[in-house]
Amino acid sequence: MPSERTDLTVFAKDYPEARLVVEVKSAVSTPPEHDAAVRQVARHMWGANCHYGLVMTPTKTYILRDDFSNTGPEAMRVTDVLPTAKLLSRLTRSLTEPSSQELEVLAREWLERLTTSYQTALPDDPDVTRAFFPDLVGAVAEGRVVAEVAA
Amino acid sequence: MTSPHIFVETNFLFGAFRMPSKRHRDASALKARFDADEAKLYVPYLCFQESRHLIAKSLPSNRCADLLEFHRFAAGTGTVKKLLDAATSEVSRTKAVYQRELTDFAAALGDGILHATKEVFDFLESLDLDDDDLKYNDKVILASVLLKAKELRGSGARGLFFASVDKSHLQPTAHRPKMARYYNEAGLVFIPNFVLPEPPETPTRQSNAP
Repeated sequence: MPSERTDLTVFAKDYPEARLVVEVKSAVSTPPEHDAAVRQVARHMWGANCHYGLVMTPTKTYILRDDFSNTGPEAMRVTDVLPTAKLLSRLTRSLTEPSSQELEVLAREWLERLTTSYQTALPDDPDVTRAFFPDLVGAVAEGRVVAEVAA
Repeated sequence: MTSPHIFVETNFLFGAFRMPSKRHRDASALKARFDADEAKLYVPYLCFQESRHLIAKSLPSNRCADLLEFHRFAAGTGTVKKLLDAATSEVSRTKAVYQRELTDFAAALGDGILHATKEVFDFLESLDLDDDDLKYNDKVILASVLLKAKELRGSGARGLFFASVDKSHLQPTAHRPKMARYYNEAGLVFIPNFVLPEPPETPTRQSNAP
């Protein structure tokens, strides 16, 4: 049975500009730059002219950024890797080892918080602060979270 | 091979005609396919009005001012200023030309422009959807697209796609059986981006050679 793929995209508040692309996956292989899901997100970011991306797994979240050093998806690099449990720890329904489906629901709820009030989404942690401030938080502020579901 | 028929809406026009450095690359690539006669595009007329408004709203009003201020503070003026001046002039140029570029594109579409005719409004009145949270403009867009797709299918066209990036409420899913039925009747496939799916591989004939 084909697995259901969920894409989450944060668009600018007032117009259809992609600000953040998020993919939820069960796992990412090592090194992440060679992983199919990470490469797909990088390709998606390049095509949409979007500068930030996340690949979220039940254990780790990979943060991709456009470093503007190349022309093409290779400019989108994994700059930070954070424990997913730590990243989602502000959620009241935070789970220690969520299934992929549970993680999709949590990711959407977390993104809604991140776009409306980052203080309620991000934990006080130096690694999280370094990864998200100021550019990523600024990019998604007041954004619209849109889920694409394709069977 | 026949060209695919692709319905697009406001987010395509916005992505393909906004300030060049911020354009959606997949939207630009799809427009290039249209320009090369490799794809037939259809756009509800309403989307041109929406995109004109959105492009105007998205243009920065004080682009590079902070960087210019910092540059003067840090190092005086020089080569960096030329780059920033070029970036600022991109805004001015876009303001000057985007309306004309959209008008030229509308002319190039020809019968690919979908006007809100009496038939569209009649169909809109009869639309029975799973939930009623679609905005009115989106209902008009959906009705225009479904009606034209049905007409094309009736005349034997195949390869009908509706490409939209930020309108997941227009996407037929298992949870929207009524909407999915309309899409099926029109032979229309929704894609949540501007990248067409690869056509299925045709089976190759087995060689009988020893």
